[in-house]
Amino acid sequence: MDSLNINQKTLLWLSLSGISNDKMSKLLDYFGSAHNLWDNFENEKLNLTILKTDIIDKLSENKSDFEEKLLEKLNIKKAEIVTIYDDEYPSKLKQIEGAPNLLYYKGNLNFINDISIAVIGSRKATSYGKWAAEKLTKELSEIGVNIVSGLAVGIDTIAHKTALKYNAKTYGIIGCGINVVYPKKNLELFKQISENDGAVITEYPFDIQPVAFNFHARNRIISGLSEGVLVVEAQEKSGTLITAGHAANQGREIFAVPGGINSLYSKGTNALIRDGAKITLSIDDIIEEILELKERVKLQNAFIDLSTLTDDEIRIMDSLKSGKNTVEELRQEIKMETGELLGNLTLLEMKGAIKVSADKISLNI
Amino acid sequence: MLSKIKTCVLYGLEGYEVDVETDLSGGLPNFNIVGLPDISIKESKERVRSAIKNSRFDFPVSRITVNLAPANLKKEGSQIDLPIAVGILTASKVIKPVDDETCIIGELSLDGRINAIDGALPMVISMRNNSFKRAIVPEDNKEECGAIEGIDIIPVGSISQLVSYLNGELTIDPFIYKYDFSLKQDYYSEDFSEIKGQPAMKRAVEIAAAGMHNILLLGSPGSGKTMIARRIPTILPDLTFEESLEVTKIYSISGMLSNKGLIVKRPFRSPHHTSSRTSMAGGGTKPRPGEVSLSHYGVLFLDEIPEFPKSVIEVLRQPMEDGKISISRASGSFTFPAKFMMVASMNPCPCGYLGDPTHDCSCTQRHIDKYLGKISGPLLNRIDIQIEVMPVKYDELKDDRVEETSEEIKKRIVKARNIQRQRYKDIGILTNSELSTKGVSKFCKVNKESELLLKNAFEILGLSARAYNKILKVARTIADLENFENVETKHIAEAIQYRNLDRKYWR
Repeated sequence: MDSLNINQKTLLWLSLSGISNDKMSKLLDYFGSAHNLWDNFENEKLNLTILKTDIIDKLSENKSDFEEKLLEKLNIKKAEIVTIYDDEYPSKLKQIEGAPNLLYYKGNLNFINDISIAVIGSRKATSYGKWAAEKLTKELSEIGVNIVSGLAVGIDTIAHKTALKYNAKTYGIIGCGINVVYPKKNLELFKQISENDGAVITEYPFDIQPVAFNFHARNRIISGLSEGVLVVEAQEKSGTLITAGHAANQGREIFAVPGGINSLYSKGTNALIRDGAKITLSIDDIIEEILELKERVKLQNAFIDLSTLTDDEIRIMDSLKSGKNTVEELRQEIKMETGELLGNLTLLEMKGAIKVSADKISLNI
Repeated sequence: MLSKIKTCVLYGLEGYEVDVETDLSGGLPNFNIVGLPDISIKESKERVRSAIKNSRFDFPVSRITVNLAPANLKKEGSQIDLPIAVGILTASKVIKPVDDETCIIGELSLDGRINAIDGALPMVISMRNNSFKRAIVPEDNKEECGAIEGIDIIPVGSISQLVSYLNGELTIDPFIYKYDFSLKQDYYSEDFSEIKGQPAMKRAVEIAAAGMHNILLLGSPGSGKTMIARRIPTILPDLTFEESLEVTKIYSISGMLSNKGLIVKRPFRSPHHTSSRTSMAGGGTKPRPGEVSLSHYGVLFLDEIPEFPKSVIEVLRQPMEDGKISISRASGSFTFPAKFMMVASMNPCPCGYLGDPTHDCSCTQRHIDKYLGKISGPLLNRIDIQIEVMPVKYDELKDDRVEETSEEIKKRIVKARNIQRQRYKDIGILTNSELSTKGVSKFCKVNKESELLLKNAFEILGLSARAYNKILKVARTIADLENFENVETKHIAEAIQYRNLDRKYWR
């Protein structure tokens, strides 16, 4: 990052001086724009009731010399920032209440507006939870869904790792400064996420340590970045359920994996289901609820291999589209030997384009 | 006075030479047969006596002892009537001594006429192999025996005719029946062109016939399973002379030769599902071939295969593997050939309408599972092609489109069979279905692309592992039908279509 625009400069300055996101929003409201805030802060600072005087002093003190130091720091850590005024800012996040004004991130945000599902769960997952997280994440990854999670241990780690393994973009939202790796053993995972077209994202400035309250707040970003939140395992009172609560407030779909009623780690998820979360037995349950995803899967099945179809196969597809649906009809329409036709039908079936049953052949659309 | 006449008894399909020794001696008139005769031979005493009398010869008034040598071999069958009568007449000097290169078989009727016997053909063949020069056979058996070369067939109708012949007063020309197997044969009243529509089923059946693959037809009532099965013999290559002889032998000992001559039609056997194990495998105190042998070189059609008792189905396993069946009885062990193409049909569920678009199925899942469970894995393993058939729609039925005739299909099959025979001439098999696992990897090599297709098919379509070799064998036959040297990807792709029941019903 070479230089900052005025929005970025203003918000960074506020963030660095320890202004919380709420206060930041209030200040912006007060001044009308970041530009105005930057220009008129000194004139107005005595009238500000939003901030305590020591903070105002700190802001004044920081205003002149923070920029260069910070740019250097960002460059060393290979981190970048994006503000709510920038085009790169995740569009889904803009819609939520209390959207972070400033995000620090490592990696890139090129794909962050694609369909994403948050996969979250307990840190102390059971083997069932781990298995379910891996299976569902794998299947979601395979249909090209982004996986968002919280880079904590347990389910989060499995979600990220599985997504990476199956070439999905994955975004890790953390509750500390971008230069703080927590938990330490996920250092390698941090690196891989940012190097594989995903990103590690936080709203906290440098050096902020992971404290409980931060995690609480970052959960709204996890749900905010996703179309739906899949809760794999959760205890009765847990951060995971808080995320689910955020999701509900933000109008996101909530999916929960059911578990045994005697399992401590499924109490939360089972309660979610009781309260109206969608029970998730396979990713079909997720696909069904998310319209864009449903459309995409349909398209994938119908067109994913059209480029690889041979001329004969395309002729068969065309004929099927025109309403022919038995071997006899196809044979007459495209004048192909029965044997050859049957062979081509197998190939089409394997490509997922059609379904062959005894009485008819149907398109998989 | 002593006389010795050569005749023959059958064990399975093998004929054994038997000497009929007759001795006339003084003492109280008496008639004894020794040498392990069974009841049918003991009874022949009465037939022989009446037949000789009614032919206006004198029945000797003396002590008659007939010995059947070798004495340790059990003998049965009414064909010994005639040699006993000839033995008595020779011993009483009505007939000149008969040379030992002539064998005599035939059953007597009380008026002196000679009746047809069962198993004349295998007896004559065995006697020819034992270097007999001449066989005297009943008039009614001459057609089946006439085709055998290397032995003169002398057909006789009555004792008096035979006496004149043996005394040189009458000449009977050896009967020769020439079959021209190269001629176009048209024995079947059914034809493939009568089946409207159903291209996939026809294709599957054609492939099955070309590679002699066993096939399972699954479909609701009225979908034409039986109709197509009955027409399979019409597309199989014509029997060769050797094959015809073998089939005729089996029918000969079963007494099932209706048209007398050699059997030239491929057998089609359709045993009912109430058939017993013995009727299927063969057996009985006097072992007779069962259905598996009667369908040798032809088609064994098992309609409604789940209705067959498990024990009956299980006896099919040996013949399907070895092409023959061994039956062990107290009297010995018999082996009959049984190389057949099995065509099985079944409904998809007990009521028959599962998956039928026009009827409701009234079965519970439990019933369906139980029904399908009757087909054991080992049996399924031996069925290369499975195809699901659907009822024909009305407008396809009334359609007067011209369908291919059996003749046209047969031509392609004959071609494919020739290719197979040529390829396997060194390993002693005739068709792809007989390939062993080793043979499959040698003769059904596939390229990388096909390998990948197969791998994907297993994963995506959920085929079971047992399908692997079957697909390769069937693909080999498809390649042969299309005259391809190597199995190509498209052949594999088509072969996969013929395993779709595997994934749907027996997953």
